[in-house]
Amino acid sequence: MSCERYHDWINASVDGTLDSVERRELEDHLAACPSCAALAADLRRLQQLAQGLERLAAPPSLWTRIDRATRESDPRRRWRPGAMWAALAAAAVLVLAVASTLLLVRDRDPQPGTPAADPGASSIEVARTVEAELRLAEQHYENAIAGLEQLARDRELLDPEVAATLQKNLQVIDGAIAESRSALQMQPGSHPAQQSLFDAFRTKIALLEDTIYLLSEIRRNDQVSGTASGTNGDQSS
Amino acid sequence: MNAAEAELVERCRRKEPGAFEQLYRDHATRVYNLACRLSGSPADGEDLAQEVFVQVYRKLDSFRGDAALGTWIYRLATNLCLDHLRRRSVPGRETEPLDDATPRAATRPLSADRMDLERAITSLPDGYRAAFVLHDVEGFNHHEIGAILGIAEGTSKSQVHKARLRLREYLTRMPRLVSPGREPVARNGRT
Amino acid sequence: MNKDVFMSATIRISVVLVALLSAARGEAGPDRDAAAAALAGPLALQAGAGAESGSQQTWSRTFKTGPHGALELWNLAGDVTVVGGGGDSIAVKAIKRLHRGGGPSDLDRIEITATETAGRVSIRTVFPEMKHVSAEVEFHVQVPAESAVTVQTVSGDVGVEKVTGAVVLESVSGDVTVSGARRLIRAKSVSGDVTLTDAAGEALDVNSVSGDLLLKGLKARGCTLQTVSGSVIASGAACDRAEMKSVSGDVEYSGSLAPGGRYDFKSHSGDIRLTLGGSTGFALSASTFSGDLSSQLPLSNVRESERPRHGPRTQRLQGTFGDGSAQVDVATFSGSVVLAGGK
Repeated sequence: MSCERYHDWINASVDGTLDSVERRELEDHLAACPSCAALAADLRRLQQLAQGLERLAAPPSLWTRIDRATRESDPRRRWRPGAMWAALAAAAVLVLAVASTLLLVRDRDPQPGTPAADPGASSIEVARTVEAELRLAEQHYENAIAGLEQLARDRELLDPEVAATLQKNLQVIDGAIAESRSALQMQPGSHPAQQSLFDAFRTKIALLEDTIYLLSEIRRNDQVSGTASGTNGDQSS
Repeated sequence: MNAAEAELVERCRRKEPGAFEQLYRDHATRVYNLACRLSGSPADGEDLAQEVFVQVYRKLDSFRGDAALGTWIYRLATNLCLDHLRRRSVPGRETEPLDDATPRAATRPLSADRMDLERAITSLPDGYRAAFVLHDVEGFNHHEIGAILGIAEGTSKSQVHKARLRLREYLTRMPRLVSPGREPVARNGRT
Repeated sequence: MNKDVFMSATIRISVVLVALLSAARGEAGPDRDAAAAALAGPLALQAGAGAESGSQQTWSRTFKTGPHGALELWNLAGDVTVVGGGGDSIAVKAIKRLHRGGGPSDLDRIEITATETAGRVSIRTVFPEMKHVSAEVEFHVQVPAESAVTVQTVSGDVGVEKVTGAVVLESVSGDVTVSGARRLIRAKSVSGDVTLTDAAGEALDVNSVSGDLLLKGLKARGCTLQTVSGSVIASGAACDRAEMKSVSGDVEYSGSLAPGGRYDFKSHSGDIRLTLGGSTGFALSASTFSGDLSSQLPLSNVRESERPRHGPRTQRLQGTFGDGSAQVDVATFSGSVVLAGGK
């Protein structure tokens, strides 16, 4: 098609890299060619949209996690929780990824006040696929959580009261998971129920990870510090 | 690398308190946005962004300074995200483009909102996604993208162009799941 | 000594300590009184109570760090108080104390290691294995205001005041209290409360598992306040982005919003109560799966889901106040949502 070569120019015009001669020739062509004109309009709209995409703010927890991880990686004080921990952490990431992708794809929650979503065949199919994917994500979560729970059970470093607090709070989260799940069984399409379920899963994984980090910190600090380097300051008592 | 960057890198290498945090603040937003859009999810993005900065911390000693600090960081970030995508290989998501479809006449003009575009981006093959996000969303030019992705400037142009055509295709053919009477709720005063 | 012996020593000490601390907490806040006394006059503390006795030993060091040094302190048991001020030195005062059993030789064996390298002071307590003895080390530290401060305790409250450098505080069973911080990064406890007054920072992470989070006056780019079974009670948060979440506890916020800010309030079964004052406009999106939702906010562009006679009880409310510049998202599963406008 002769229009083919103009497609490159249309893209370049969106980039802003056409010279004045090319630009004029393109404009002439667009005036005469509706399909190219449509393409040009669409690509410009696309770029506008892209430039207007939400500027996500990095969450505060991101710095916290980086700060922690870089402290741990300080060779002066390193404690390796072992390969299993790394594998579980990766599983948790995968699990979160699957779940969050689902949320992103399914964020087509009918707005209140509008007529109910068209009950055509296509949306029922979507609901079924979504449920299947949801179940898969849950399975991944459960595996990751079971593994983390095992590690966190190494709680001999914590006194019984703290261990009991953690246990009790894990149960609180489990309660939230169970409630969300049964709500979802009754209403698979409910966005708040889905959101609740994933929030609860994420909270649980975060708590288990925090517990493990806590254990590692206690263990690290219980090790005898070797020859202290640096000055010991002035005594004044 | 300019003098200010060199000084910051030096302070980080000396483990001066607060230096690495400053480096993080300078680049966090961009890396986080990149990670979210390349990986397709905010949770994933956060984990990847964490990995990026931890790697930056560890590899800072070996950073030569031949590229700008930012370029080096975004290259690390993009590579990490693309590796992650490859490892995940969700079934049904193509990693290589099947063919370079010539753009067909659209069925109707493109009228999508930001949410639609975010979704459409996640449907792009990895290479196109990276180029498009870096260029049209993050605002890097083709020369910079070449440095970040390790490709020729011309390749970057062509990848961005193809990505746009794909997105247009996706957005004009996307099935409507919600009744047409819905209007997006006003956010920040804009529709 | 091998690792197992250390670990079992830690358990034994922790068990006894916690038992005693729980008993102590039953009285009217002895820990807080001690902290208050310490803030009022650390010098008085030195002059008066510095007496060595069979059940107490003092220890102190001063480090010349310059105005931008750093303090890192790990304490297994005992309260830690850090106060920011002038000068260019970090002055550390510690009181080793026996709670039950033991004598001076046991106190001697509690090791406080303190080192300083290039302005960074690192302090750690190491408790040896002690049979039938419970002990703690209480710290009072004065630092130049712009120092960076990191404190981690297992069982001991942490109090930091007037430190404008980067602050990171973590405790397991102690309360964490911060006031006048300019660069707070993290304040966490497992079972203790976290109380922040007039805190500021870039990205704050405030967390407790079972304790409450109490916040008065916060200025940050972003903050996350999260608890599992505790409550979040905050007022006056001027943040570009704020997340306040609990699983079974309540979330209460009263005050104004920052223009263009994004606020997320979530609880699973706890209630969420917002009293939004000030003139900043916001776009609201509130939902509860099965709880009650009531709003007295003067909103326009309102969209509500109707409460059907049968079937799902999910309630939603969306609307705009003013110019809708800030964004407020509220969600519970079964808790109630109560929204009110303030003055």
